[in-house]
Amino acid sequence: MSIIPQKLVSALEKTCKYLGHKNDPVIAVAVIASFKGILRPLFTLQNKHQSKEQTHYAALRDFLTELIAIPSYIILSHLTKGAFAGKLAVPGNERNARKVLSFLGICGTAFFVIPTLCNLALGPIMDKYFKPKSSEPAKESVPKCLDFVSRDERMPVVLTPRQMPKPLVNDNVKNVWNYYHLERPNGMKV
Amino acid sequence: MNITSPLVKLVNSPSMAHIAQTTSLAVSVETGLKAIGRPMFTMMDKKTDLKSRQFSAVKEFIYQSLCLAFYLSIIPLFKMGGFKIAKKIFGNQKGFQKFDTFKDFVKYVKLVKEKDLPRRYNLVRGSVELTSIIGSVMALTMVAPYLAHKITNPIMKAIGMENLQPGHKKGEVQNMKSEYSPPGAVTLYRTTSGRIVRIKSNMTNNELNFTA
Repeated sequence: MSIIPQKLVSALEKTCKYLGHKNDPVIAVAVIASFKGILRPLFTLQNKHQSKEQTHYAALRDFLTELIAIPSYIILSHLTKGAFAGKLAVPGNERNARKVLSFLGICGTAFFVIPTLCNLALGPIMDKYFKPKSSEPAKESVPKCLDFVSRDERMPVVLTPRQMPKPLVNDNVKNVWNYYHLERPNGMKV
Repeated sequence: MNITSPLVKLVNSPSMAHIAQTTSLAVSVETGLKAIGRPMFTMMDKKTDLKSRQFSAVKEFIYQSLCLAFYLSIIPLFKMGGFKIAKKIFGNQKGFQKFDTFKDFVKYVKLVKEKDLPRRYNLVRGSVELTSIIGSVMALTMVAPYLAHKITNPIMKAIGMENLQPGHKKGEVQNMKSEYSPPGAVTLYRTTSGRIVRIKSNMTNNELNFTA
């Protein structure tokens, strides 16, 4: 193709040949994680439906998760390859066995290592950067809307509208009676 | 080394080697594991209450599953497109003269996998893998999260999990008011501890908190 410069074509050819010959799952996984680490926080920051603090919190969390993920994938896939290839590979099949071990290392990392590391590391880091302002802690802990049951210490459960207890007096007649006889703000008292 | 051991068999199996060296399959397996592993770890975290954990775990599972579904539906298009572009760029090279269409190449790959033949045509393979990586990045970082985010909330609502959202108290009082009371009316409610509270429908949030 004459439109594309020859240098770019030769670089593409080299890359393709490398990937065709030595494609390792860690390449794709690390590239995806690094792009996720950049793009996901950017998309999160553009979310207008949440408050600024919430978006910053979510963006930092996404970024840190991928920051943990990238080295974990690379290190653990190499460690698995190095540690088990000699022991588990059948003679003559070392190359394929190394790829499979690298892949198994990635699976273990995605399934177990990254969630564990994130659970351990993200909590303290996020607490450090998103501390609740200590000046008026009581005001912040008050929910915006009424939540009867969760405010009761013996029953700290949040009731949803569907689960909300039905009022004892819920018919319109009683309400109208209450309105006119108990809660009327002004007027002649008899 | 015991050759009959299941682990040795797994490590040396041609199918596993094929999965490991095919980007789209490897990424699919990894995303599937994330869909199981992340909710599992969320549920194991005892620091938060059960309902919040259930909410995050279900949401994460739905999100990852949707991402996987979108990914699997998009990636063949990228592969096909990548093959076509590469054929235009490297059309005079040896590998591309053997395969007229992407389907021919897929048939060849299947044959190699079944009969455990040596890998050849690295340029063709590599160009498909390169477009797979580019497609994976685009699908998993841009397209799938956007679509999954749009669909996750309606699904959560449909399966009745939306109400478990932590901090989702907005609307409770409004719902109560609209359901039970005319404006300005007083309604009696009983809390689970047995206390009876009087709620006026035109109370502000601060007054409601004070009452409760």
